[in-house]
Amino acid sequence: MNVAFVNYHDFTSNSAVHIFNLANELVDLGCDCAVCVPNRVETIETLGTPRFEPVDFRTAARRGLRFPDGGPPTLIHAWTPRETVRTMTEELAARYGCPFAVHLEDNEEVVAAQHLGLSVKELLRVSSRGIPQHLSHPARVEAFLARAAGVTVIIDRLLEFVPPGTPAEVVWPAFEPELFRPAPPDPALRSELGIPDGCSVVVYTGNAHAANAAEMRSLHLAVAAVNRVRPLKLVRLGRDFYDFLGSVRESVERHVVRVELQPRARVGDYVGLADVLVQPGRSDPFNDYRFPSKLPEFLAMARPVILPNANIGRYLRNEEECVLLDNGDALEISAAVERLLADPQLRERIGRGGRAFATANFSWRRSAERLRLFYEQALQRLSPNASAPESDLGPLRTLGACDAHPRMG
Amino acid sequence: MTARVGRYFGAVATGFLCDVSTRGVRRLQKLAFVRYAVKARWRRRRRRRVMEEGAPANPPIPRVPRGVEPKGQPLVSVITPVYNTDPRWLMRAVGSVRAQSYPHWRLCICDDGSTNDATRQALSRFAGDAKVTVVRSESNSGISAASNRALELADGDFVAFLDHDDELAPDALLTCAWVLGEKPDTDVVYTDEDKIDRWGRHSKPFHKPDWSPELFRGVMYVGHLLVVRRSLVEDIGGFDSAFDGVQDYELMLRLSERTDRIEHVPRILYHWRKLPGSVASSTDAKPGISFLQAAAVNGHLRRRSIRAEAQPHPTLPHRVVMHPKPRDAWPSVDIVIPTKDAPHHIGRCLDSLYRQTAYPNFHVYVVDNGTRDPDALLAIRSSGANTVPFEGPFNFSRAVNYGVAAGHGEFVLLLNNDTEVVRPDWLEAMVWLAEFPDVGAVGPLLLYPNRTVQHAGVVLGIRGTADHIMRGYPPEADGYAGSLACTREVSAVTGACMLVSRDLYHELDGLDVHFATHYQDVDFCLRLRRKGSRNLYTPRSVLIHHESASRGAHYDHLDRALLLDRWADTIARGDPYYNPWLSLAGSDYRVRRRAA
Repeated sequence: MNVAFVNYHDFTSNSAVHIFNLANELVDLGCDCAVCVPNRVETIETLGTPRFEPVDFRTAARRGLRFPDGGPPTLIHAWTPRETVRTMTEELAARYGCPFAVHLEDNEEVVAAQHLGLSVKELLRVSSRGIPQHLSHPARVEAFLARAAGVTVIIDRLLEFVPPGTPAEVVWPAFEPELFRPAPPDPALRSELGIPDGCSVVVYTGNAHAANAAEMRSLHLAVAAVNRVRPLKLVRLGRDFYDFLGSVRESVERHVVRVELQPRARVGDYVGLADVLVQPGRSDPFNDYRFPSKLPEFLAMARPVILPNANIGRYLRNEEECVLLDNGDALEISAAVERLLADPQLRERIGRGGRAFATANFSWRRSAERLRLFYEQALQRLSPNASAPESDLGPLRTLGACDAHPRMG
Repeated sequence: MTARVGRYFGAVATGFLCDVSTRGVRRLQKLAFVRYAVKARWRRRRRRRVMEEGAPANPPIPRVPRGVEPKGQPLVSVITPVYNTDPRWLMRAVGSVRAQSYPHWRLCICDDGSTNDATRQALSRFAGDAKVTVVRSESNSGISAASNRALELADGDFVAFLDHDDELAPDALLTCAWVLGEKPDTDVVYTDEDKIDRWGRHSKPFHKPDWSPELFRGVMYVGHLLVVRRSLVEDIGGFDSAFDGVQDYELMLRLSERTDRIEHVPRILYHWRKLPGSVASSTDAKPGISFLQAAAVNGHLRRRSIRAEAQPHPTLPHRVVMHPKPRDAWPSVDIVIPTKDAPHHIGRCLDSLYRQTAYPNFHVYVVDNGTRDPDALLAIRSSGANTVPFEGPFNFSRAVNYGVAAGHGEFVLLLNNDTEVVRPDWLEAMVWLAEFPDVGAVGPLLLYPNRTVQHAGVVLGIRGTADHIMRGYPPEADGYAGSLACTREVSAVTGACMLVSRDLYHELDGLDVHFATHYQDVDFCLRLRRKGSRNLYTPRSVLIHHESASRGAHYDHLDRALLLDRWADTIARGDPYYNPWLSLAGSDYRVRRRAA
């Protein structure tokens, strides 16, 4: 089976990490893969050595996709329905006459509306012609999904967007065990970053953009607030595409250690500096439909993770595998951080619980196996010889990649 | 005309452009997107501003969605007692009911023995109207009895009260029915109102707070329009003739003893006719009403087993003042005062506290953040107060929490060292209110040294966060319909002088230590509200506050950011005790220029 992934951004994006690991695992499982990104194909080096062919859009359009068997793609997997991906996917699908699947990892309506400063209702009224390439328009997404052979989603809540009758599967992200493992903080790295002795550390790896600006502000304010009680540094990997600090920048930034873009192999070292890890946020139409891909990595580090009672937080046990936030405001985050910093045994216990959850539920290999099965079932449904009743074609999954269930209530 | 022509040519031009070609349509679509893009940029900037600077100035005002029928469509019977009413006003009143946009109503009129032929003739005109029922008493029995007779005619689940010369706004019943449909448990709905004169001119809009039972014990602010579940009115036996003149106030007091499912609609849906001799024209129009009001409140206090006595306000008409009854034992109060040096402040504060306070059961805890000034040390040591040493950099929240932890009293009173007690009964006036099980924090009237108002409660949204209301007012003023002169519900009170039970204080883990200088009191009060407590301001307790004399002009922007991060949504929704039609640009209850 030849699978071509189409991503909306180069290999520095979080989504590219998912694709990179899934594609590599699929190759090991006997599939052949190609991954198309809009440009800067050389950024693959930040992730490691691929077992698939990375290619940019222009090259793919000019000379086509190449697979080891010399054949065309069996299926194209559009990674999000954003305009740039949708356009490329439909172009490739038409060229090769093959079906495509779509992967959802966000509430695209909310993301687009937030970026454009519109309400979702207003977004629906905007002509789809004017939508920027890096976003998606609800009307086009609907049509795109309706034509898809199947839909994969990163978290179960996104199944709400899947058209009735379309095969769907939940594919959780995972972590690389060799990069994200329990290990003591590297004192040399602490020293290199100028973190003084006795100062606790929170690490955050992720970008700031319009959709998560408020929660990024909460995280940074929380760090400044904790510093009124005890010293704490926020080691920050990721870029800012939105100014979320404004007038408090001065009083907050002195507690933040900025780290430039790091190779994937180094990210675990930085995360390992943390005494506590925080994924800020609160249950809302943005957070309920996403799965912050850093969370499997955070949990795998055996550090206590503070996260909102939304998305993957619904699967984790509060005070055993993580600390859940009710409101997600800065003061709640700071109180949770201080409580954990003051109690090493609690940190150790919750960190251990989180690690156990991560190892039991997050695996790129298992996610890839599930993905391959999903491809086979989706393709079988399209086959003119498919005579078996729908129920025999395999379940249209509605569970997580680990078959875990959300907590009740 | 010009506008109509403009619209016509606009439509023609649009049609022409659309017809020219598909490309034209595309251009129009692109133009539409540009329009949205411009709007979006403005919104992004506003969102960032709101995130940094606080809530937008004007909270939203709820509206009835167009074309949506209220759920359940309850039948509302309008109750109108009539006595010798000028037919002009009677016809206006009835006409305003007939003109309602909501069709499910009945009008129940009781003619209370009118001797005026014109009134009787006017009433006879409604004979053919199936939705209007008129019943006549042979003799004049008073407004309560007449209202009760009209109530007997009522049908449906709800009754509304309309005086014989007033008018309803066209959407009055529709709006109330919509609220009742959205919140089907609601028992009582009241709306904003204004005055209307004989020429139909509107004036004196009254923008009321949301249901405030404590304020209601001091002033009849609910007024009109009042819509009540009929079964509830019947259960309490309707109006009481002994209170004619304040019969609606007395009725509402009894209703409030049965239900707290009381909704306020912040829209002017009732027009109160201002005629010579009516209360609408002058508060002096009906002398003696204040005594009846006090009697009604005393009955209410007896029924609720509240150990207090109501009396008419000594200077303001139609206001009631409550005094706690004398008792043998009062609960213990720990007064916590953080301080450092400032001998003139702490000396004056402690001196006035011990010299002026009549309250029999209090202990003072001075949280000393490293005082070295010998005069200040002498003032503290000679006062008899307990000293709680507090090391480290000054943090008001932590200092207060530290002081509270040192005591054991049933109540804790946070007090700034730059305050000065001026009335002996100041503490009783706060404690008896804080004893109510549903009351959180209680704050007093604080005055600047020049004897103008410094604190009479905190309103959410002023300056983007929260600020004191009625700063600079003379303390003897009434405020906005009793907002200064009467004890009332507020969103927050100042931490410069705040009384709260020790249990509640511990339940909320005290003041949040992450607020170094500002807003820990607002945050604490909002947390009290979130857990269902009411916060009260009382003008019966008065102190002088030499505000920020010890703190200086420093403003902590991180404190502000932390408050907004936690409470921006709450603040943006608007202060329930400060009507959304009132401006947040000032602190004086002026009506805002334009609705949201």
